Amino acid sequence: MEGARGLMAEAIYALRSSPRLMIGVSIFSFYVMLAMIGPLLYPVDPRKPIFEHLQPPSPQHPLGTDVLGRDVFAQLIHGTYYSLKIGFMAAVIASILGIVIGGVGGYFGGVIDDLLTLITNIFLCVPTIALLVILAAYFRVRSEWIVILLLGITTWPSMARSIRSQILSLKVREFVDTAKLCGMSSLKILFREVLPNMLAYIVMYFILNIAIAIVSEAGLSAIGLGPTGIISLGMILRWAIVWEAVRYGAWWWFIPPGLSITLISLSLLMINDALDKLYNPRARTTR
Amino acid sequence: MRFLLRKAGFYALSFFIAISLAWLLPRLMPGDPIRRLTMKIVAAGTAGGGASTAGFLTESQVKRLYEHWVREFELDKPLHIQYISFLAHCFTLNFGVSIRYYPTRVTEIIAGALPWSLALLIPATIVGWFLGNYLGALAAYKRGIYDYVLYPFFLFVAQSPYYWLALILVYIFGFYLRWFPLGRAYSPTFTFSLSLDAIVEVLRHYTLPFLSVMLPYVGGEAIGMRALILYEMGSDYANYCESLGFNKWKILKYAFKNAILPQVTGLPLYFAAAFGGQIVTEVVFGYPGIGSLLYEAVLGQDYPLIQGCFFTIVAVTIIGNFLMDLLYAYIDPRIKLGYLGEK
Repeated sequence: MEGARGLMAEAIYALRSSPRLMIGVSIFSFYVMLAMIGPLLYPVDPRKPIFEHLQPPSPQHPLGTDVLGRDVFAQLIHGTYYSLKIGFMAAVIASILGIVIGGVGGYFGGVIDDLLTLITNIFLCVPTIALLVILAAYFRVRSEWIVILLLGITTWPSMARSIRSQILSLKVREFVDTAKLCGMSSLKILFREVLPNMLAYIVMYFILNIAIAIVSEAGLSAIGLGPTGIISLGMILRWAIVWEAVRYGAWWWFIPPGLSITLISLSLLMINDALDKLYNPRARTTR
Repeated sequence: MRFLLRKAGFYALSFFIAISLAWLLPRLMPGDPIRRLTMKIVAAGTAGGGASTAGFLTESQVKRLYEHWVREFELDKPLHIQYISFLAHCFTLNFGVSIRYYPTRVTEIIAGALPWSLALLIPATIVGWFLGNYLGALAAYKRGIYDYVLYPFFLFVAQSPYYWLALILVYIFGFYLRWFPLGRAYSPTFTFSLSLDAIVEVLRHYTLPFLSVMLPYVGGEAIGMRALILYEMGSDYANYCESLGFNKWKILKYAFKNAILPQVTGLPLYFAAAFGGQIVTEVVFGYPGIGSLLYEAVLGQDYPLIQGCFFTIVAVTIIGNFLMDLLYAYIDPRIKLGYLGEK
């Protein structure tokens, strides 16, 4: 209870002291709310044609309709939900991989480290999107979980690299020596002592991974290699591209999904950046 | 010299593993591309030939055709033999014949597409780099209204997906203002020549893809440059110079020199990301580069073409990385020492 109250107080302090964090959290919360309560407040089927093609925004259809006469706002609500979900889950997988690969390599050193660093560097050298395109094309039908997995296994390398370098500086601190003297096993020290000390860092990278995964998913979907059978923000863009929304001048169709992708990833970056300033005093000097 | 060898060794190893992946991955895919090719020929024969006997193939003939192709693409041999022959062919840049564009050679197809990709990427990267660094430094130096307008613009442009920016550009300049055509790097009727008309035609089709690759880069570079300049301007030496009464412009010049270094290292990373990121832009604009080609190859399960495209993309990325490493080691000797000292 005491701890929770302390956390709340700290969060409120952080929000008040950093306008950037405030803006980031506000935008991101707006989209989370849109995805969560949107379908309840605006119960329109995003797939059902309403026989009015390419209607510009009106009171009945806040964001108009697409070429098949489907409601764009309803699509946006569902798209936001799936984009956030895919981004979040992919970031979970990527972060676990990043922590384990970077952490184990950095902490144990030696041959394991050389091997893991090599794998990380190779992944960093190979263009992610090219790999994703090839992998995604394997599956004729791609469930959201397949896409989540693919995004997860292509997003981790930069995190692994950073975690490794952080571990290198942490593992020579006194508290690690103390733990060793207490006879704790190496794995236990790594996961119980060292990693919790990097929690802020891990959370920041996790947030960054969500942004990266959301943008990657949108890119895959935009060229038709995203999840099949669901609506994500990238999928709406895909339809707008395939059915040439621009040729009809239907700005209400292609601007909102792209704007949402941009704002979501921008808000996550702002949160990440603000947290960096809060936890890393050296970064505070530059505004 | 040791530094160079070590780096070169690492890149060679990465390259080897990457192209092995390019060989392995398509083979794990379900589906049979040769059957598809055979079906296409059969379908074309029945549709086009009609009554003529040449267009109609008996079942055994279809089977023979199928087996002939399986042999030609070496898909009947054991996997390890296929792999070794693939590696051997990589050295001579011979990726065989495309299945989708049968019987055109993969090397030929790639040679046709690569210039388009590079013609888009290299100028966009260079212009974007200079413009981004200039604007970033400007925003950091002038602060005030410049910063308030430019900084959010940088952030927004850097985070927005390339292809979406492209759609907006097409909408504004193609649909609304009608300055540029909607999509395609050239008209279907276009034949290349060095006349003024031809150049104008290419430029008209080139501008929008160019802008959509360049603008996000300007944003990214500017954000980095702005932060670096702010940091440098607040550091001890800058304060000292200021207290000595140096001209602010002169301090900025010092700060710029220090700040440009990390920006140089960012270049290969961006180059790598952009060469891949371009896939989406190219597909969206119907721009005939490597990205579009890889996309088509993947959809058509064209093993040789996938291998060729992936090989090219990885090669360009790794060569770019290596060149920048060299450049960086040359600019900043500490990097070289750090790399050797770590081991």
